[in-house]
Amino acid sequence: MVRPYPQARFLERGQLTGIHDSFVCWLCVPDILYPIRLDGRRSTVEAHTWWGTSILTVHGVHQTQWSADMRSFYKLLIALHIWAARESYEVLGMFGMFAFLNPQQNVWRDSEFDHTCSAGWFFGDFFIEDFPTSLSYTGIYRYALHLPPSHQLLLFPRPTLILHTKVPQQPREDDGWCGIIWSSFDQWEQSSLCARGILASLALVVPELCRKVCPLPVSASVLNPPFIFSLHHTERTNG
Amino acid sequence: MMHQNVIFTFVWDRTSDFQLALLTTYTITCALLTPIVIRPAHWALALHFTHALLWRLFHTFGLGLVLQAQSRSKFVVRHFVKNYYYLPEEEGKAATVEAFDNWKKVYNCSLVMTYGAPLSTGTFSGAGPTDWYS
Repeated sequence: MVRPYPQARFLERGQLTGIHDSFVCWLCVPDILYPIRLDGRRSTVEAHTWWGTSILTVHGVHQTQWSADMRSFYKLLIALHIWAARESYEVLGMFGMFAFLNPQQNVWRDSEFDHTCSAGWFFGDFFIEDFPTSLSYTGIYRYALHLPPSHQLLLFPRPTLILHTKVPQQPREDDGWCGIIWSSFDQWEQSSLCARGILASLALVVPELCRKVCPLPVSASVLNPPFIFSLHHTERTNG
Repeated sequence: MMHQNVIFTFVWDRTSDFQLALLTTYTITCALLTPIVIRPAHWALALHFTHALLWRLFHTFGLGLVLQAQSRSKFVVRHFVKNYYYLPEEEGKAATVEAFDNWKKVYNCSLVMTYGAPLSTGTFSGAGPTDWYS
């Protein structure tokens, strides 16, 4: 007797009756999940038979080799992104998560700032007014541009990756100026900076130029959208 | 403070964390089910790609514009002051606390989904590249 598929599968695995059927039903789960793996394997067969004999060889590089290289490149980009995110987080810290919480009294207070962190992963200084701002020159941000000359990494060759510019934030009292170093679409409209950024990203392939320049702006341009990546930056001039 | 992370400071009895876990679970479940329900695999892949793209756009443009407005005119705090009631003596403070609290939750959720949606796409959708053997 030819049974439909699930029943045959049950008989194959040793069929029980009654209430046990409902438990044995769980044995079907690998069969249900099988098409997920099937796609990859079927496409493997197709790649061997069809794509492997096709004319997809350009300049002596087969498409499969190109795909493997590109996937390695994608993995490198993902690793770069993870590295940049971890470095940013090390500098920024999680200011904001415990900004208002006094852990001793378990009450919310506005004076319990986390003074050890400069800005924050959650953009805390966008919200809290009397936050004691400080400029971060450590970690990944020592490669940022438009820093004072004392904090510039290299005088020559200058890192030509112009991707971070300064926009004014809300000025506060006794602040000489207060701003954010970030790359937003306002600044991207300035075509000269944008062109310089594109040219400079092309210049990354020159090894002597990128010898000591960290790949942060590349990751910022490729993976990070310009809105998200920001370096909070304030500076006092009059004491 | 050093080894704490956005994802790893997770407490079950915090509502936002629980909702985020629920959202992640539903995303993974849908990513597992779509290549079965939606039969041509590239259609499922297109659906997942659209999903990931929408989260990316929301994270970039939606939250980016909100953050820009907050930086320029304190948009979020003004919104909370205007639409909700606070005690007169602590109006600005409580509104700032609440606005920042909500901002943190929204930003964390969007961040997790922005990176989780493409990951679930690539991991579970079953539509891989055509040359796994290379």
